[in-house]
Amino acid sequence: MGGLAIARLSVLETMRRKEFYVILALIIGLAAWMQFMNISSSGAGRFAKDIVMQAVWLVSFGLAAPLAARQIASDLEQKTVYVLMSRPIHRWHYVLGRTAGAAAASVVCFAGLFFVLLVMLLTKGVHGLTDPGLWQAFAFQVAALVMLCAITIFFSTCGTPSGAVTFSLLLLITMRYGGPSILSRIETMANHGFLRETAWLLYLAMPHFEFLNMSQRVVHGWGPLPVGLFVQILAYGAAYSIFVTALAALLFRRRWL
Amino acid sequence: MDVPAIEVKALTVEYKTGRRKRKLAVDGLSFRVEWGEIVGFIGPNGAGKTSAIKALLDFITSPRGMCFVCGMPSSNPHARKRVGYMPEISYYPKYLTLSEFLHSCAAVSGMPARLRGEAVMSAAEKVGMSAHLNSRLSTFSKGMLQQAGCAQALVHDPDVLILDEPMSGLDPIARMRMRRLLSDLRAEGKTILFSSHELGEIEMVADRILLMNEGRLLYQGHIAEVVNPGSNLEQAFLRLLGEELPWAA
Amino acid sequence: MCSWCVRMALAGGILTILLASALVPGLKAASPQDPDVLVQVLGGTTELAAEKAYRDADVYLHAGVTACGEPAESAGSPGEPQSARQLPLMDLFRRLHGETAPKVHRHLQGDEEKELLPWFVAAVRLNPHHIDAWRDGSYWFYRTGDFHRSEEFISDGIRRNPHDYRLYLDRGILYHRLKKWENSIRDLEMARKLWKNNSEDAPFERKAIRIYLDDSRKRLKPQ
Repeated sequence: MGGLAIARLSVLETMRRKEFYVILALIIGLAAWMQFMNISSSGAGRFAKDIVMQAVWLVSFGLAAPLAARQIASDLEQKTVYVLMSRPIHRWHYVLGRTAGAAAASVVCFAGLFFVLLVMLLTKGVHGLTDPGLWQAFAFQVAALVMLCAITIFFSTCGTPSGAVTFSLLLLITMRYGGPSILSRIETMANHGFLRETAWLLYLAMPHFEFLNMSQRVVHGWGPLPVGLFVQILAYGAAYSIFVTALAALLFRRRWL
Repeated sequence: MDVPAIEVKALTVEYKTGRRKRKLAVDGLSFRVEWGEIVGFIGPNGAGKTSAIKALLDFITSPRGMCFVCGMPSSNPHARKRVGYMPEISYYPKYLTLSEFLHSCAAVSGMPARLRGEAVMSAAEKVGMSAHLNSRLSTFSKGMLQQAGCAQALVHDPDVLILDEPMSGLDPIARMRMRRLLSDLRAEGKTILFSSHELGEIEMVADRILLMNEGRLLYQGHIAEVVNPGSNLEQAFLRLLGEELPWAA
Repeated sequence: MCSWCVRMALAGGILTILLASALVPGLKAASPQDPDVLVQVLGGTTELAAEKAYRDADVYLHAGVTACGEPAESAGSPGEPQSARQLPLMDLFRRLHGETAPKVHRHLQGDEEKELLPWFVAAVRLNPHHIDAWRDGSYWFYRTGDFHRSEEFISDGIRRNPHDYRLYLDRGILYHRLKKWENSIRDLEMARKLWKNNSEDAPFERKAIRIYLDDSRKRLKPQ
């Protein structure tokens, strides 16, 4: 119960800050601009869908990372952590609550942006609400946001908030856009002692955001993933988030407040 | 009850101030606070009062020595179930209203939802802030934030209160209200440990005092035992600390 | 300065850029050489973005597959030396990558080909000197049946790059297809005049200039 109450605090903070509404206004402006762009004699639905989808996805990441980074850091800096930790809760309750709150707030922001995307799709007459691939992409993005929040909070417990944002976004961009090519490089590495094995271990430990990136499948109409694979990947996202949160809780356990 | 409300045995807290430098904030501190009494925790700046309180609340983990709250080790979160803490610095989430803040505190303390509304009202009334329940904390003055801090310490009806500088920033009327509140709480059977630089306030409400200096406990006992007739706690404080009285001939 | 003011300033700046970039193409440029407002604001990074946009057109043509053909397979195709030792879970990751990414080599067809066009438009907006984007964009406008836009597009490219023979060559070929022989001859002669042997394709393009020029002249002559 304590963790839930802490999570609710995080959501309230995000809603009361102005950033979300500024970003939402920008996305609405972008979507409106796409609608009226004179590109060719007929609509270019994929292009508009691609641009707005990428914008929504990237902006939601851009909102989530700083939001997560300041959860514990600002509590410690402003001493508001005392009011919470003087209550009968374990320290891992607090870390879990802050992570869940940051993730929930990020998902709420993303859902708002996603709604704008849906409206744009409907007006363009492109794939609408019935495209299961679109909803799979939504679910995957939610999982990616949860993972990103967990990773950022982990980094924030052992470094500064700005460092946490930088590292977590670097990881996100590297794996989301470079994951498959990193695998190819490791596969083609010769057996140079332990170098290949070390690279592989590091690769395994990385958060595999590339599996949660379905935007191109949706844009190009490749159809939804098989249900079994979809569930497997979601389970991976959940498991990774829990693992990283547990690490963060371990780090926070002995910290002097 | 056999076990005291608060018990500290040979507590030692060391801070790292450099690569090989350490500062001894608390050195072998031992004291007890019995149920139902008000104990004033006094000492000059840097005496170690706040560090001792932090160790009691497990903000400082694994110090040397032992701390018990309500009979349980301070490292056990359940020990804090019956504890209300008011921090020295009144920083609270500024984006919340007082009502939301108190509701959150009650929820984190494990209070069932059906009881929170009444508890919030009651806590706000006790500190005289019921007219400001729907105001955001960002609009509060320093004194109002102190009162809000006291309210959050009371919202879950704790048996033990640990208050760090509760009078700081309060006007005379608010101080009087706080003194009255402390007396009322004692009448309800609460146990209170509070630190303060306002020795006059401590003299009015506390049963016993704990005097710390440079991490060590210099004196613990009843105020009447340490204050000479015709004198006051401030003079006794300075005497115990070995400072010269400014008006001595 | 309060954080709210900073946020509003940032939002205002971004909105201004978006609005300006939407409005400016609708206005006649003071001179064909005036760079776009995006180029003025973002500078050299637009070249990278233009190249990305140009490559995205190819990705779109292949419906999301990033390389022509199958995605990278595991090390060791038939006939190649023995691959490195397989590490634990490598097969699983390879399978996951294979199943989550589109892999069948196919092209967009029919009306779907119009999906490429915005990328060429974006590429030349970002880098008006991206000759391949002008050329390919004009080709795909023609292929999707928008002849007028095709001519407009390549002409715009020529205005911004008046000394590149390749654009004159492509417009000459376009006019040839549209049976505008005089225009075709004019452009092909300009292409021949400006031709430089500065790439691997240059000799072949010179030959193409001659072939199309000869054919246009022959068709122009009254029978």
